[in-house]
Amino acid sequence: MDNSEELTAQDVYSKLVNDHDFSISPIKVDGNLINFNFDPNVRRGLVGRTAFSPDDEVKIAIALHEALIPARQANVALLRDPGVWTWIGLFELRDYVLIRWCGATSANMLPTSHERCSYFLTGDALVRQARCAVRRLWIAANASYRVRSDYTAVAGNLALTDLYTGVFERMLGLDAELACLLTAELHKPKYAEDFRRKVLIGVGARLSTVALECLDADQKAQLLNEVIADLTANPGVLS
Amino acid sequence: MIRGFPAHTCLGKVACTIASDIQIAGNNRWLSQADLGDEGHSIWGEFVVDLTGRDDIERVRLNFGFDVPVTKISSAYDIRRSEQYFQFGVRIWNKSTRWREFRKGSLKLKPKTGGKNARLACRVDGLLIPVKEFSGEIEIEPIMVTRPRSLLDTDRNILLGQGSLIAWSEPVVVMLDRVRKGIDTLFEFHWVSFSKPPSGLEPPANSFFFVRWEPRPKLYLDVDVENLQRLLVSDSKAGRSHDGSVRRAVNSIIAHQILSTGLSAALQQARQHRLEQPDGTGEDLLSGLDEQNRSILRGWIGALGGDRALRPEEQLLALLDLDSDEVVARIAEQIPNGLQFGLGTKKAVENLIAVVSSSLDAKVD
Repeated sequence: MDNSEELTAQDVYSKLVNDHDFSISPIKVDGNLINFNFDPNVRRGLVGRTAFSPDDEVKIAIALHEALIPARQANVALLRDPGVWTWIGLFELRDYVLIRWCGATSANMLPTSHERCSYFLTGDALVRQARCAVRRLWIAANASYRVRSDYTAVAGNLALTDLYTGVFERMLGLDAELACLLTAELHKPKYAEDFRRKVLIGVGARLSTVALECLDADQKAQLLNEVIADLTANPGVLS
Repeated sequence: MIRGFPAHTCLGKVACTIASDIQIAGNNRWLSQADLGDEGHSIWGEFVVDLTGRDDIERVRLNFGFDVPVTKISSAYDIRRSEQYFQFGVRIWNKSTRWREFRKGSLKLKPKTGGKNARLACRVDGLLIPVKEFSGEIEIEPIMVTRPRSLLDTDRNILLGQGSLIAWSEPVVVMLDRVRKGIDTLFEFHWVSFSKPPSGLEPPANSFFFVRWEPRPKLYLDVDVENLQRLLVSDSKAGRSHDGSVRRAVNSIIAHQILSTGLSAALQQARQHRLEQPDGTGEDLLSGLDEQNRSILRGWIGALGGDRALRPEEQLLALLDLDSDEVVARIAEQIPNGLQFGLGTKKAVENLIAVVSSSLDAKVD
């Protein structure tokens, strides 16, 4: 996507509503074109949809992660380029972004406001990474892949929007192991939203005096279990 | 995530010696700042290795070292066992690639010798950062942490888990593309004619500069002002040379205004984010801001009158915990003072006066 750093949500909205073209150029690294081979079966499933469930998002997230492997291998900095994500949202997964995030209906396929078009955009800040509709999916899939070398944790990562936000928009979300532990546990129906929020605060408080990077998987799980046990025994704490 | 001092016995922030060099792709030789001469000044700062625009760099190599006087923690931990109890290393954060990890170093108990007290000698030697595996800014923070699964702090009677922070140092930031270390590099400079501006640009009337506050903030300067461009882009050193003195004084005028505005805009966004996410840490808050707001707060939050010993994230949290009247008062009262201090305005004005006075004296003679 050309000039993506200067593209605003208002620009995206205007172009979509007025059916204007976006300016794009192919990506080359060392003279080689970078391919984006999105699973055609998943792509077909996006057409004509009126809504997207968390299960649908899991499929899209996995296909997206796989499609971006060549880009990541060519140059990791490509995945930091806002233009790449905006292009994917506008050209490859436009229906998904419009319906899931921009209030569009299958009848008109237009965003309801320019504010909502910010979901097509991204930036370097963690919040802006995680609030880009398609980058959000990639982050969920990538966390799973880093921890388990497969995609079995993606469903937990994407099960609840508020939980995803609470985990992946924070620094603790950079530790894929802890992030997947948190979502795997806290997306269970037995936890209310307020309790989930308190657990994240509790984990953050513990990590203010402990270097997360020095803990192994068992210790991270223990830390989470201790926080949950503390909050279960003392529900008034952190209210 | 270091916020204030932990409840257990802890040394807090410790001064660290840092050395680094770089390796150019296809060349086995390591180059230090001294090897690169003037070119090196644009790469190395006290806590920054700035590789912006240097696509030829393959790896960065860093050495860290700090000495911890054991007397400060000997009442809490059995120092004879300190090599079992503690470990030293660096933690590496790279938000762009969403990565954080710990790299171990060495920690050795050095007994009291001569005039030197017993100390823990902590080192990380030859830490290699392969540039291609990262993106954006890499933050590398030296830390000393506890090693066993549990360790009793006998001074405060607290059982510590593994990884509890005992000491830390100012992080080093390796910048791979964006430069964010001061007023000169916070903005892209554009020299344009304000009387005949390019299409789409509307300079305010009677101005000689204006700012567009966006992810890559732009500072537009008027080429129509006689000698302004020559002065501001001159290589003349600060000191008391004519051009250098005038340049610093003009820089101060511009910098005061744009930094005041930028800091206010950044604080406004930070306050909004704090309201949306009241439980977030300082790192979460700073990480959530737009790039230009994060950069200016990281570089200039000290101008807002907080405790400069704290990290920018902590200073920001402390500031946002004040009520809105106090924040307004802080902005109104502290920014002018903080910027004068940070920009060296007094010195700039003194030099300008000295240069002008000596010119006048010369004419009288």
